[in-house]
Amino acid sequence: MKKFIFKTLLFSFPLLIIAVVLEVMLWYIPNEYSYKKEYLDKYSEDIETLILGSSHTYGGLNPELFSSNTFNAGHNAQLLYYDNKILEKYKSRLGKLKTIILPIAYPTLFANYEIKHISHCQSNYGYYFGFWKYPSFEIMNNRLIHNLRKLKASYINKTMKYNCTKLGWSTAFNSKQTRDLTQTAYETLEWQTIENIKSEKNNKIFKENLSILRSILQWSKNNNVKVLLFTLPAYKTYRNNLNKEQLSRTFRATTDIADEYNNCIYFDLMSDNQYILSDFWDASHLSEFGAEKLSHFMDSVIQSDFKARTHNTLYK
Amino acid sequence: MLFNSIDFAIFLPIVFILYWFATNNNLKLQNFLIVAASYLFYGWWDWRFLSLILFSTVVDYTVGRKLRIEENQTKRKILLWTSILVNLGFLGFFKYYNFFLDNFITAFSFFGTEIKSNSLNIILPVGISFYTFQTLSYTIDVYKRKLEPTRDFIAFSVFVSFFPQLVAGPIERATHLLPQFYKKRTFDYSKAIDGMRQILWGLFKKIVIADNCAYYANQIFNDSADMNGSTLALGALFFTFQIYGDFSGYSDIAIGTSRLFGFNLTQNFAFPYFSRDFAEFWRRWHISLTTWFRDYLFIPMVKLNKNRKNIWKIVTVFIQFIIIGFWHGANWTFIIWGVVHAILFLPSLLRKKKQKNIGSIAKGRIFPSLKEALSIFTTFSLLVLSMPFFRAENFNHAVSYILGIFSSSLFSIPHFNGMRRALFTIIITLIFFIIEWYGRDNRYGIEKLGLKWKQPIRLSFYYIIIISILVCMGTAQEFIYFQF
Repeated sequence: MKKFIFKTLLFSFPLLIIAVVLEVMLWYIPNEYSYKKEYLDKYSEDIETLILGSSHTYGGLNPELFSSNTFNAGHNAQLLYYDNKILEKYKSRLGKLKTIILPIAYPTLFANYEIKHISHCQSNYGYYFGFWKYPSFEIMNNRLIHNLRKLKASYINKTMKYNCTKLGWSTAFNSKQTRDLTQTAYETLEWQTIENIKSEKNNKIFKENLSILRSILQWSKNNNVKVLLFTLPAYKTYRNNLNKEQLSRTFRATTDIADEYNNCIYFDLMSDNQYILSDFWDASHLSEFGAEKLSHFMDSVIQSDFKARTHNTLYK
Repeated sequence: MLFNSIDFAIFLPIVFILYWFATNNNLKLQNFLIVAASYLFYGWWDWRFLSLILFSTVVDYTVGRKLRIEENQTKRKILLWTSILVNLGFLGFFKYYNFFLDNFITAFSFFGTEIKSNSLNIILPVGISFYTFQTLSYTIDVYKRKLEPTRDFIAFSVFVSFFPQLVAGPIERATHLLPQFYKKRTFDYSKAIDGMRQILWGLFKKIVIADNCAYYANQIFNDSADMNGSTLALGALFFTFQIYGDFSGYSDIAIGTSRLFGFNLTQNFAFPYFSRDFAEFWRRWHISLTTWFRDYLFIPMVKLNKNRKNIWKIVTVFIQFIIIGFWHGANWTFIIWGVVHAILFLPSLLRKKKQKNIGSIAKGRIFPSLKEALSIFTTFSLLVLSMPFFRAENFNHAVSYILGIFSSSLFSIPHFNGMRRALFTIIITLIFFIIEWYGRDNRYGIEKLGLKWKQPIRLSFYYIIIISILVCMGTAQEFIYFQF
């Protein structure tokens, strides 16, 4: 028995060493998370408009097009939980903050770390922001070949670049690399549509997310910060295939919560016909053209001191 | 809990250490630990369905005990049918309720009667088809007095819920597995090393072969309407390897894991893709299921007709294959798949050559004879052509897929997104196929491979397998047979 355990450990030892070395090396590669953390550490006192949220804001709102001093702290698959954590971490330093922009997308209120497309991002919040809610390893998040390419680009070729601008806007949603609007709708909805949304577990997730949203709104209200909630424009291939129940529950809860807080306004832009084919990068994300339109619109709302009317919504 | 997950990589060593060190080799404690570990393993997916396993365990244990003392034949039959109805009742409800409901509604609407009824949103408990058949084998064997019913409830609970084979088999017979829980287990170094090797090979099959093939099979099946004949043929080929890598990989991990704890499970796959006819294929594919149906359905049915006329045998073969098909899922495509295999099986039955290809393939030779190669190629090609029924969404999709293969574009160059990347998968599958051919007389592909090599070379070989697994990790798919 002891021989078996000893030999198994001996055999596994080189693999464990390699795994640890790879994990540490990957951890030290500068990326968008480490950049955003660094930016917030240095400049959070100056931020007037803070953009939080998932890829919808990360690629959909360009801070350079805002009149106020704006920073995009959103990231792909960023849960409300982490939006709140970022806010909690920097709230004492956000003295000039006037507006928070937060997207409420079709999966937002039903999302948690267990969803495969979300879980792989969680280690980044642990490593770079110190938010260790769920243990996760960088080497497990991507295929080994992808990680090796990343290491080569960073340590050997020194060609690793940030995929975001200085103010945190993603440069990945480029119109030169658009994706098929039908295929992406199918692929995205496959994981975004939650099976059995009335189940005990999904109800719990839904309530937890609403509670986080309320906590963000309450802190904002107490500190005279306005909150702009919105749902991103989506292409018809995506819109037409949504689960009506999940969609209406999300929109009803969001409109109700926006009515509850007088510092909050909600725009449902999902069916906004101003956004044409070239504005979409895929079925549920905007290209730089769409991002420009959306950024100008959001800026105009902020500049009008939230006097713009909320858009019509199908599910209010 | 999935075998190819981090959770299992943590769970297994903990259970292993506790099993061999904390129980002081006490049989009852070891069995109790396995029950607890098995319930944790299953509950990791959904703890609510543990009640189903527990209920089946209690019912079959009680029925077994009563069958032991009951002499009245009518009462014995009632007890047997209680067990059958409870077990098949659960299976029928969770797996087939919506299928039958939808088909009744369609049938009535065909005759002009509209019935309004809503399908239920039923979650299929993982592994229900496997443990149901396993517990049924116990009750039937006790009823037939082939097996002495157990008095040890914990041992029986382990038999029903034994975690390595709980969710996707092999479907063990009580006569084979249950006695192993009564015997004192001592750690066997060579058995444990062999188990580790089989786990490694199972992971390779699942992660490197099945998951890579799945990527391309899914792509081609999802867009089959836009694909040419040769691409569709390639898609069916990818799926054929996907399902083999997936399911036999799972069985290898299950058998290997059991060996670490001192148990021997039934071999579930014996290199089925080298079969020379369909009778041989079904002796080599999902052996624990086919022998279950052979012993509990086919042979009793054949015995019903004392004259044993050919026509009755043919009917029995069709019934058996339709049920095997239906066992895989509540969809007409699986039933058709069963019918297709019954048809492919018939030539061996009618020519009375069902037992012809029993021995090993190309025994003592590196290459098969021309006749053997032709038989293997024909059987494999027909198998690939039957796979669209297994994989397609519905009957129309399967038929249009097969017709698409036989279009004029069959001899054109395959074309789909990522075709160049798919070459890697094709090459690695080919290497895998060669290794499997080399090890075809053993229990699994690498059982004897490299045992006589020098240690550094042998270890390098294992490291290469591990590295290829790690390289391919990250696109993990669930095991296909979980849904059955």
